[in-house]
Amino acid sequence: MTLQLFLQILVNGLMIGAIYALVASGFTLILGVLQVFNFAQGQFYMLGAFATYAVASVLGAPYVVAILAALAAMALLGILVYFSIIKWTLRYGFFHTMLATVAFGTIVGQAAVLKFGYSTAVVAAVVDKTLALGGVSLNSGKLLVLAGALVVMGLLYWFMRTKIGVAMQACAENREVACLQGINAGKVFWVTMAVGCALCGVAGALVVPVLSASTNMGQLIFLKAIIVVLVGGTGSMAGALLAAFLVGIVESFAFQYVESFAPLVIFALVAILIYFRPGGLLGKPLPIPGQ
Amino acid sequence: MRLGKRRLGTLVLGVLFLALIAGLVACGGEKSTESTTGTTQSSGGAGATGTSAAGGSGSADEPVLRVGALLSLDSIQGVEMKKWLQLFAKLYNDAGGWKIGETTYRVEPMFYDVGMWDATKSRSAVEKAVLQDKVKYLVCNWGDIPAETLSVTEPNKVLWLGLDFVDDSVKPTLNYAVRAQGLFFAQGLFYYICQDYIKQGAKSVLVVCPDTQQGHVGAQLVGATATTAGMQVLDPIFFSADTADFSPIATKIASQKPDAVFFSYVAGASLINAIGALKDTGWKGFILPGELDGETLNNLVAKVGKEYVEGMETGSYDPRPVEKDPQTLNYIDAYQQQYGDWHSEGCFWIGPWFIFEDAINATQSTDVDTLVAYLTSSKKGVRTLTGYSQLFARPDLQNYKTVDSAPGHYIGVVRDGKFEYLETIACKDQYLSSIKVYGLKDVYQKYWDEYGYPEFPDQPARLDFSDL
Amino acid sequence: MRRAMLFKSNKWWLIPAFLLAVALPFFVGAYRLQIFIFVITYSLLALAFQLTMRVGLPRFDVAAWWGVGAYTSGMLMLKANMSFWLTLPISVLVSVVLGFAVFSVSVRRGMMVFMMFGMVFALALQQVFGSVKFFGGWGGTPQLPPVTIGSYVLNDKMWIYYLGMALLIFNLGVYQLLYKSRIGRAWSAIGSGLRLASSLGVNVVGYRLANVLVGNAFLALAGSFSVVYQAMIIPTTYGFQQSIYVMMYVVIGGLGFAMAGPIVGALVLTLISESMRAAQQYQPIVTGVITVLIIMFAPWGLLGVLRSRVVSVLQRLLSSRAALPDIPSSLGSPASVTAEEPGKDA
Repeated sequence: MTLQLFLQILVNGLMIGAIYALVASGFTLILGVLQVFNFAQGQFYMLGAFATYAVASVLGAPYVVAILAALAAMALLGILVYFSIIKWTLRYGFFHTMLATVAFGTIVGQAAVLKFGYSTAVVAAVVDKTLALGGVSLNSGKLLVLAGALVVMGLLYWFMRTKIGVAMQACAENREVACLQGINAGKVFWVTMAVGCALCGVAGALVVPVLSASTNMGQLIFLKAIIVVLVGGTGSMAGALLAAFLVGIVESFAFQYVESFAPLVIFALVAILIYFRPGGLLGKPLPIPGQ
Repeated sequence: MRLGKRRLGTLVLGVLFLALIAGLVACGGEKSTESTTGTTQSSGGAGATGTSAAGGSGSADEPVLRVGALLSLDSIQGVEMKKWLQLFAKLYNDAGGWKIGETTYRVEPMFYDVGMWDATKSRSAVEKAVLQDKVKYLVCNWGDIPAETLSVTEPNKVLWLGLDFVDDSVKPTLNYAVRAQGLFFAQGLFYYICQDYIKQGAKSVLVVCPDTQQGHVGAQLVGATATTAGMQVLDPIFFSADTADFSPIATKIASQKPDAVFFSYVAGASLINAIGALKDTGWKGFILPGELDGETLNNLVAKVGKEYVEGMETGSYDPRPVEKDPQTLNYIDAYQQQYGDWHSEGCFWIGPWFIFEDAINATQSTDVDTLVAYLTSSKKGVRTLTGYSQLFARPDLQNYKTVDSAPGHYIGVVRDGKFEYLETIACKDQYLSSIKVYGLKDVYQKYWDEYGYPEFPDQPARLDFSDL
Repeated sequence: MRRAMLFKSNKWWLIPAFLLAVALPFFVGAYRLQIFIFVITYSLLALAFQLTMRVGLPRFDVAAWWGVGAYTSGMLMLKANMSFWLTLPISVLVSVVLGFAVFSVSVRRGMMVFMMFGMVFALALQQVFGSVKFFGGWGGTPQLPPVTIGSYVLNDKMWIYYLGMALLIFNLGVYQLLYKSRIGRAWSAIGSGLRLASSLGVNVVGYRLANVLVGNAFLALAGSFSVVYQAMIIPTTYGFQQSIYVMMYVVIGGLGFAMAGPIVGALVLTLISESMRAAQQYQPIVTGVITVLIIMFAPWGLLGVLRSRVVSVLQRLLSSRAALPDIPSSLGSPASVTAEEPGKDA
């Protein structure tokens, strides 16, 4: 394998890994803090991509504005979903809430198919150049996605250290004790939902100049997020970030050699990890419901 | 109790939210308003049995000709085929009905949604059509499983005119099945393009297909075609059908350094992403997308720029810039009037309807056996929306009835970001190039010696029998 | 728990329900009978889901194991010319052995890992069915040979229906026996309180594994049963979406009803879906909206609504929510709902 090929595969893996990281960290945040297994997570990613398309291509606004719009729209939708569905079903327990998000995801997914049809939404590439570094050509659009994702992760790191972020971590650690300490669980919940969904929205917005938006992209990324969370350890944010890049890179290399059997390679990876390292890569998962 | 009120508030919020979604869906579906006719009719059919079901929407004593279609309404092709069938029925009904023999029939299309490749849904749809609604003709299909469909239509003597990617529907043991939209005799398109690309200097080709049934069949056929035309065929690449990120695929394509890349059964979003990713790797060469409609091309140009797709040749299903035939132009006008916009995705796949229409008009009969007798000894091509379609026998399967079709196709080239019509692939070329590609000359020669050479519609053709 | 007792004392409805089910083929046409055959298959799937819910494990690989059963039977009939009846025990065996290999990895890691690992497994398995040439590819297997009893070809819908009925009753019977036994009580104990059960010395992992494998055995039987009425096996039928529908069946029917809930749910949703045959693109939305409404306003399913008076439903909606468990720190209510007789454990 030449160096060029190796680097290209690596960059492919890193780019898709960055997207997985955003979606999976949003998923794992909601799972850890709200103890909601959000099946609709992928649909927020899909809607984020379409929102970016609407703002950037249809309204003609700059791409940065479109990213912020997608972020805000998904955060708002997350809050709306929390107050209209999740808050209601939370009292019935984990299973009911999960099913509510399943149903919500199904409705949104099919509504998107009916609304946007089977057509594709394409946003013109933001940077249309290829970086050439000593015979290795790398597409700068992908590097931009990677950079954008790293910025968002940095912001997330900062956010988790603000007052509300710490409150979220406390709720994830032990909800009863957190409430006794005077943390307003209700507020923490909707903020978590907003942040978790906004992460997906940003992921969709970042990816749309490289991949075009289509209505089935949500379901797929959700299953990838599940794999990432399994590898990283359920409920662990840092583990999810690390695992996302690992899964992305493994997937990318696996395709080069075994093509459509790549899912089997991923499955083997997950099985081995679960067997030998039940806590995930970092081995320190947060407490999660239903052991 | 204050708590109760707050819950009530949330309840209202929840209901509003659901209503919002429902509203969103309702505006999204101009298609939905048309589909109501289909819905009421067939749900009426579920409530009652026999012909009385049709009484609701028309005058009760008028005879009704019911034409069933098993379509996946989850796919653009299925939706488009439904629109075309509704249009054809409307044209007949507006003109006072379809006069067959001494009787004038009102045409009633019946639609059955089968999902995409779902054995259970496919089964219940065909059983509903055949056993419950007593449909006698199943014309056009998309997303169903022909083997499953035929296991119900054959014992019940239902005429099946449809599409099948494998050879399930052209076995000699079947009596009521005609593959009116076959892909066996459709190698002309790739053969033409291979020849053109070889002329421009392409030597090796890589076939890229989704990991689906169509994909595997396509890879085999396209590979055989390219070999026959004189190209070196590299190992095909299959990718998971729901892939969104094509970067690993493009990297693998580029690492094999082919002169040309054929995307077989890759369309819409997948095609745009695939070509976009291919451009990112820095690969340059000949690209052949299996099919390309106007909207996809516009999106593609927006994504990769004009230069990258310049000179790309591909098949097209859009008859508008090509056809001069007044009847076809009428259909195109009627479609645009009825639906306000234009989609070409259904034009090719709606072919079986014309074969059905021709059989009924030629025999002046609605009897299934008469129709089958006419169809299985077919002598001439039938005009469809995309050129001629003609039925041929399959002596390689010991089936000497004309049950498999060579469909019409256009070939076009992308110049300056626009699609230009190049030529129509003649029925004769579809037929002969396919026989050549599969290496079946001897079998067919024996058949021709016994049954005589087939006659073709009057179209300019590249190949002749002597070229085999 | 009072609800469960009520359900048990009212068994009289079983007799008319059984008679109705037996008499059904004489009233409905071939197409509708086929729909009821599908309902039976879906009920079998939903029952397996309900079984694992009993030990607090929601599973999303139901359709995959259904596929394992179908493919085992179909492949043996096609490649080894085996009689259908002989393939039944083999498909159960394959499903249980393969299930043991997969679940011994995931069951000990708790509910969340079990659930997610199941999804990943289902995905990988579908890829195997689709991409490995031996299984016939994404286009499905070749046409299956007919199922015969001696020289009689089993293609009469009525007998297929009765075969399915027998399978369903066998399934219900085995579940009933298990629920009544020591094993069943251990399952209930695990479902209603994991920590308590393990502190009482219940082998949680072992009992959970046994539970999931029993489910697997019946899923394999359901898969083999579908071979009887299908012309071929096609991998896309056994996808993730089907598993999600199975979950909806169980909740719409009623989580607290171990036997009737899954059947009622499968019946209702299949009939709704079938009545929208001409407009299937709206079917997921309708199903989704119904599910959301059920979860919000009737969390114990249609049977729960049926049992309680309409007045008490309204009452519960507006005020008596407090009677239900509040925000749970563990799996919480669904498991304790499925636990019908926690008192008998001691």
